[in-house]
Amino acid sequence: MTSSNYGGAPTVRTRPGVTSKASSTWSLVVFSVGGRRLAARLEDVGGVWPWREPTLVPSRTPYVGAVLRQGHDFFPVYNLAGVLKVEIEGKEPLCLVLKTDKGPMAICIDETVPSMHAPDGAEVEPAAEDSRPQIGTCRIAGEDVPIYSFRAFGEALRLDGGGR
Amino acid sequence: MVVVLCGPSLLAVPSDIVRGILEPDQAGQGPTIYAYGLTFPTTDLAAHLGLWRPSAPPEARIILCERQHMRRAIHVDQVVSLTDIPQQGIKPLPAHFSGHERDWFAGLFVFQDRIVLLLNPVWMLRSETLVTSIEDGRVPEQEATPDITLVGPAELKGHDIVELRRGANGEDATWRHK
Repeated sequence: MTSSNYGGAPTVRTRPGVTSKASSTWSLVVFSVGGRRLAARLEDVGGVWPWREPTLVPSRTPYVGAVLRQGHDFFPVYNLAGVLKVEIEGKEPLCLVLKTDKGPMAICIDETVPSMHAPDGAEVEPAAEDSRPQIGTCRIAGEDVPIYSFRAFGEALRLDGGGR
Repeated sequence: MVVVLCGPSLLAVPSDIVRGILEPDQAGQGPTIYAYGLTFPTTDLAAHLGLWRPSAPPEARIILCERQHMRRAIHVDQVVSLTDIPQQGIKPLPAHFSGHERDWFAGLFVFQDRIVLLLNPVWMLRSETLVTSIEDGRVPEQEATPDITLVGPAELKGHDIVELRRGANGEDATWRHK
């Protein structure tokens, strides 16, 4: 991963009266899906590699209908682009592995290489509890980038109301 | 394992439940197949699993399955291979899958660098689970045979008469042609 692909150091936006102590320890991986910039905590990221065509799995689980093989491991594919109703950009998309309480899962992201952001004194505006899996927002290069965590995978199904 | 192609997916049927493999011409038309002195209700597996396929290819086959008096004939697009897979090579379906697919598949494994989904024989052979798995208004090309159908004598003309006996454990049933 490269550093600050998008240029400009993240700036801090703090809700009045709210200061996230955890923000000083947050390192963010910023990636894009369908041109939309999103972030995940570095500790939630299991790896990034070139996207390969997954194997279809007949499924009734919303947005989980394929698996990818990496060595001896099988990763379920979570269709985040489908959730966000966007199309993946670029001819050579990437695979981002995110850690969840059910094990790692793969998502297809744009070909833009993710970047890491860990500025000193960074603070993140926390998201309300009912906004999960969005856990906060960080302002990067003048843009509010939502931070997602899928540690509790069931919360992923709350995106888009859990429907297909 | 008998590895088969069904729509775009590679599926595996445990060898111990396979009683035979027929070409469609050998099986004839209808909701059941009579072979080896036994009656097998037919199922279009692709339709049950929601796998799209335009039409049956020339390589299409029918696999006759049986275990403990439960039988099923499944339509597949191609029989790819018969292979041994060590138990440790079979991985469970990732826990993220939380729908009916957990009943459909007993696991997955790699065969010739491709991922194969291992069909759950218990689900395959139980007609009621096949019927109830149909959702979203999708109707399979051939529905699974219902447990009991009441018809009048006039409707029996020209049909085979099949007798259903309830087994001692309340689940196993023996089918016998009169």
